[in-house]
Amino acid sequence: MEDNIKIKVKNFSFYYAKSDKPALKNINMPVYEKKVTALIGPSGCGKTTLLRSFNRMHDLYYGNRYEGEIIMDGKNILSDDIDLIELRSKVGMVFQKPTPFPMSIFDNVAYGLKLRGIKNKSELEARVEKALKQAALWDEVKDRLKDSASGLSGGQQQRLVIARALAVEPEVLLFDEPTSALDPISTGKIEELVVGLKETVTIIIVTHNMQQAARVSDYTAFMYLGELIEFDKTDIIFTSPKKKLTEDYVSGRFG
Amino acid sequence: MDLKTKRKIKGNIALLLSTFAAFMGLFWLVFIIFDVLRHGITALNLELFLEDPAPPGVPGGGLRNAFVGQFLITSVATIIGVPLGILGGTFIAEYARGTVFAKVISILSDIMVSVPSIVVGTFIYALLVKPFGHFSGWAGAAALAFIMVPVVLRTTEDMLKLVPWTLREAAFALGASYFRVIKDVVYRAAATGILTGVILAIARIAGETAPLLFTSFNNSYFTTNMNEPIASLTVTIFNYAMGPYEDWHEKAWAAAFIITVVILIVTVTSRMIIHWRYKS
Amino acid sequence: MLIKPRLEEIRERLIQMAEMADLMIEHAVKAIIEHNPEYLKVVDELEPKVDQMEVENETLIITTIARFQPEAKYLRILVMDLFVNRDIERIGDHAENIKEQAERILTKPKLKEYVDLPIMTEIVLGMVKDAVKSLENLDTELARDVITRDDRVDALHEQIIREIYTYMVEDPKNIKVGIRLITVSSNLERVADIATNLAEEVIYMKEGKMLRHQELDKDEEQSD
Repeated sequence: MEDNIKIKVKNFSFYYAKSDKPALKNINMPVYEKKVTALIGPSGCGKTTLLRSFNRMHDLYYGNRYEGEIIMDGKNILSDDIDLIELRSKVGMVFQKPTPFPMSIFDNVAYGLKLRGIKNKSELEARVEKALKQAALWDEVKDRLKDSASGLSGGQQQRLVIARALAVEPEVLLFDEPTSALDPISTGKIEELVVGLKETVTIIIVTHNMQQAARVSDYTAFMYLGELIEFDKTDIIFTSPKKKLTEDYVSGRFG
Repeated sequence: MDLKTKRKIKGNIALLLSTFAAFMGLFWLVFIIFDVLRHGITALNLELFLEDPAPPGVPGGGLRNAFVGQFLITSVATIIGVPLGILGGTFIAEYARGTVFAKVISILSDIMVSVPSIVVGTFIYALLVKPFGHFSGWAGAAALAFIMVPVVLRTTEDMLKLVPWTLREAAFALGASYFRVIKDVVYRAAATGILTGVILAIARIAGETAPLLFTSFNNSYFTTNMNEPIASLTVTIFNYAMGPYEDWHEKAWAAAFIITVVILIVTVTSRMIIHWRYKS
Repeated sequence: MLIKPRLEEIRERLIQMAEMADLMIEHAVKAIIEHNPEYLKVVDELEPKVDQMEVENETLIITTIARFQPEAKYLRILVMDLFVNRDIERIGDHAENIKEQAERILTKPKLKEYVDLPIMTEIVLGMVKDAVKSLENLDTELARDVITRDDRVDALHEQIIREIYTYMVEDPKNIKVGIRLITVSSNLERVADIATNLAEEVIYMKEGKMLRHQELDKDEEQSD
């Protein structure tokens, strides 16, 4: 049974502002629907740059340039007539350092919903509860939703941030090294969460920990110096990769 | 003597000196407050607040007009100065972040802050008193606002810059516009710092005398009309202290005491706000 | 624990495979005992499936080891799963062998009413079924029990040889069939050995004790 393609990256290159050299060179790669795709590679290979292109975070900084196309559901998300706010409803993001807003737990999760004009109290409550349950945080916070989010532990904060992203029901969720700032137990919980989420959301995760990529992902893309070296099922990348560079990286010979 | 004893002695000397220095600072503060109180205690009564000044030479009366006037001028200055300062600080810390323009404004603010307050007074005199032909409460408020704006602006700028960039990115990633990112996330994160800065700015202008000398001037009568010259506590202290009447001197001491205590309370309150906010 | 679903999947597949190999043995021998070639069809059906499963299982186990880099208990389980996988496939091979012998035996009239062969088959199938059952829950008590039955199977094998021998001596025309019957018995005896290996692999998975090439009672001595 063939997996469906959710996003297609076509001849995609990226230039940071004031730079002639591309940070990403001619990337061609599929992202399969409701699967976990991992982007791995040594520091500076461009994996985070690529990830942040999927929700056009680069647009925040003047002067960045995209070339090529990233096609999702038939539309090129890099074109000028795309509504960024709508794009970011469909494509959510979780960052490396947990970033709860300075508000209550409830308000954090409801923020995205309020941005979209949802005011009805019972609807907000229902969707916040759903999101917190999906993020495996509901039981721990259900009695203190009005408490400040800064009182949670690191692992809890990261799950809160995930709930916040899930509340707007995105189709794709981007994870930028979500566990580098966490202890091993919290890391394990987040990994299980990511694997569980793929039933409803397509996931792209950047990680510098390739064992994590091996555990968690269905497809893996190995990048090096801004290029995509190899893309394949995780099973193959970690047992019999086709390119020597991939094999060297995966067996720990560099990076 | 061995190294260990030498170190011990040095440590003790340092401890002694720093304790003495701290004590010195505190001592003079307490001394000032008590001395002012001592001199003005006789005039510290309810009439001071409820009655207007008696004609010169006649004992009795109070400083109601000065208290009210001071309050009015400070309030108007705050209403003008705080929004301008916060918005200005937001502009250079957010929208114009990193540009040369922002740097220029920042430096100009610093310069404005160090302008002697009497110069501010003469400047506003030329702008708002001379063309109209009379002193006014508005001019006094404008002068104080002129001092306040750069203070608030720089504090706001610094506090906003302390908010980590990833917090903003997280809000953007949820689909917020820049305006909402600032309103919902950045302001909330910097709120305590900005509030403290505002309170300290208010405390600062509440004690200024020189800028009011040629702007709001003074008024022996009670008025709430800002178009007229209006009494202020600081200028009143200045006038009364230099006047010939004993009764005036006592009132000046009492007024000085009140101002000192108010500013002290305001400053301590702002520190308590920080303490309370960051403890919870 | 992300590795758990994979381990369960592998175990399910091994149990399925073993059930197929079991059926193959059962039907191959039944064809001989009831002198009816119909039963051999099942063996032909299942044989390629068992072989295919072996290849798929091997890939699955190796990729699981590569991706999850397991330690201790999980490592033992996965490595032993590889051996279990091979062993079950070999049971299938022996079923094939028995089938081939059966084809030739059935060309001749039935030699006798078989008594020991059905008994031996029942014990051997029981050993395989229980060895696989002990795999399901890592039931080491059951596994140890399976190992004790091997001696009985060996004794039955000897008995069958002696009995067939008398038939062959009595009438040389029986030699052709006799030899094939002995071959079938040998294959069954080998299956019992494989079942014993399976049980030992289960014990290793659970306890980390390697019992291969050791007497069972020696192992009990050491554990005291």
